[in-house]
Amino acid sequence: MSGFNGYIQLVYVLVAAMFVVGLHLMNSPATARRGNQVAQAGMVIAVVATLILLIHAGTVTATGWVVLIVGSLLGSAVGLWAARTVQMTAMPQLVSAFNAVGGGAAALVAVYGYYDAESRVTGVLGTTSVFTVLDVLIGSVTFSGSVIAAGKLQGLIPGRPIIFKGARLVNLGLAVVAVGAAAFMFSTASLPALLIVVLASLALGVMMVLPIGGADMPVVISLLNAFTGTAVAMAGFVIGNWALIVAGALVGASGSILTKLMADAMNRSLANIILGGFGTGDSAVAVEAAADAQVRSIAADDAAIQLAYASKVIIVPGYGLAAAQAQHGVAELAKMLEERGIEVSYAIHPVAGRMPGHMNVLLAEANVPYPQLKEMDEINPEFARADVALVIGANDVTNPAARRPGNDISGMPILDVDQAKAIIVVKRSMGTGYAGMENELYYDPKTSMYFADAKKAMADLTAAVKTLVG
Amino acid sequence: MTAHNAVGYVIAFIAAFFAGANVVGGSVVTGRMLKMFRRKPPPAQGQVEGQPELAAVNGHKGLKGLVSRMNRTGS
Repeated sequence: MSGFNGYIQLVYVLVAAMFVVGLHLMNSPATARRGNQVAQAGMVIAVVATLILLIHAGTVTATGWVVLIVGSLLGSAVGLWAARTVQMTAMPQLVSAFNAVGGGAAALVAVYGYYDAESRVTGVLGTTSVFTVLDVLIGSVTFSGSVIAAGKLQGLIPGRPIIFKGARLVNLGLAVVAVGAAAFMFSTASLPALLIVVLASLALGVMMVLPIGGADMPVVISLLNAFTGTAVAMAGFVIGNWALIVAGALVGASGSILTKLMADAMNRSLANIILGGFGTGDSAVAVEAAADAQVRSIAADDAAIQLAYASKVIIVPGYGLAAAQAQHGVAELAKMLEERGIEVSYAIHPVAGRMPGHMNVLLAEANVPYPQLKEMDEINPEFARADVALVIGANDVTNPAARRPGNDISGMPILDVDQAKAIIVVKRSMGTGYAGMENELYYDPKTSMYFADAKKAMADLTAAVKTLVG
Repeated sequence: MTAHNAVGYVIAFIAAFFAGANVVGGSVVTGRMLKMFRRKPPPAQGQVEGQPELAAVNGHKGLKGLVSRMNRTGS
């Protein structure tokens, strides 16, 4: 048995290597698809190896096989269907939902192990390890937190930060209960204690994500993804599966790095984002700044003239572009401008949109050539040379107020849109962005506001450019 | 998987369901997103107006492009 088990462990090491190679291939767009295929192949091998292990061990009952096979096939079918049919604009909530089930599955592995040992009377204390407890804790927090995040992104739960008095006290209480019950499990085998850990962790996950607003979602999704990975690694320790440990650790580590990068891109600490309370009424200082300033509005024809006679145009997409599904429209407009010999590029802020890489995926869907997407550091020096900066549904990441101290977004790296010779902002209304503060860019004498839904604006602009130059 | 009662089976069923959805859905959605970054042929002349998707398909990808696109959008 141990020899056989050894072979299976060797296969798991191979699988782990495939995951690492797959992840490495994802470094560049040219090899990324192959990377995903390598990782998928690794996953298939891991599943087959585990099935062989289970058959060889012969411990699974007939009912057990039915439960496992039907459950995983049904889940796979639902996952496949969702992944195939979801609109590109709804991708962030789907990613969040996948995080939820990943964390949930990891937590249930530990819950099952504990429950199963309890039902056989003997040895339940032996199965209470620090891994069991961490798996249940992190997995449950990830599950409920991701469900709330998906609900917010889908609009089922208000996207604004939901904050109430005493929330921190409640959080502290929940954390104490969860950790206390977990500590109790080490001294006494107790299913009720496990149940308390699960419930308190689920509540903690809800409380963690409720106060987080829309614009912080990329960071939160990335963080919850890191949590999923960590929970999966813990599940791997619980059942002694090396492939699971490595896969989980890879996700946990890469998710943590991404989370850090995105938090840095907003010049905010993770604690600041998690604790929330950003721009929720106590930021009157910045709002009054522009009270007497004038906003200039512009119609499609005039905007089209500016664009058609520019030699360099930088497009700044934001969440508004995704919400209005305007990615194809903007790509078409850009293509027409390029045919006139105008240099077009896209400025991508690291936290634009609602999930990491949101803008990249959306624009790729609309067949925008990848080299035209420029990251913040690369594009910022180019704004001074741009004749027109076309801002579509982006707000806080363009606000020059970030360069001054003393307001909510002070110090946040921004796109230097105000350096362009002229700025056209496509926006539905003068409503404030997530930070709840006025965008000084809109009051810049160089700025024209084009009030319209992004999708309609792109269609009208394209038509106007066509009439103009056609 | 040695449960001898209903609760154990229910836990195992949900865990298997979740894991299946996570693994299959996650990798398919990743593949779908990555497919969009594939290098596209240079834009062909005479695109179909107002339908950038179709226009891109006309650009040398032919039926295969159209089919993969329909699969992808599920329409």
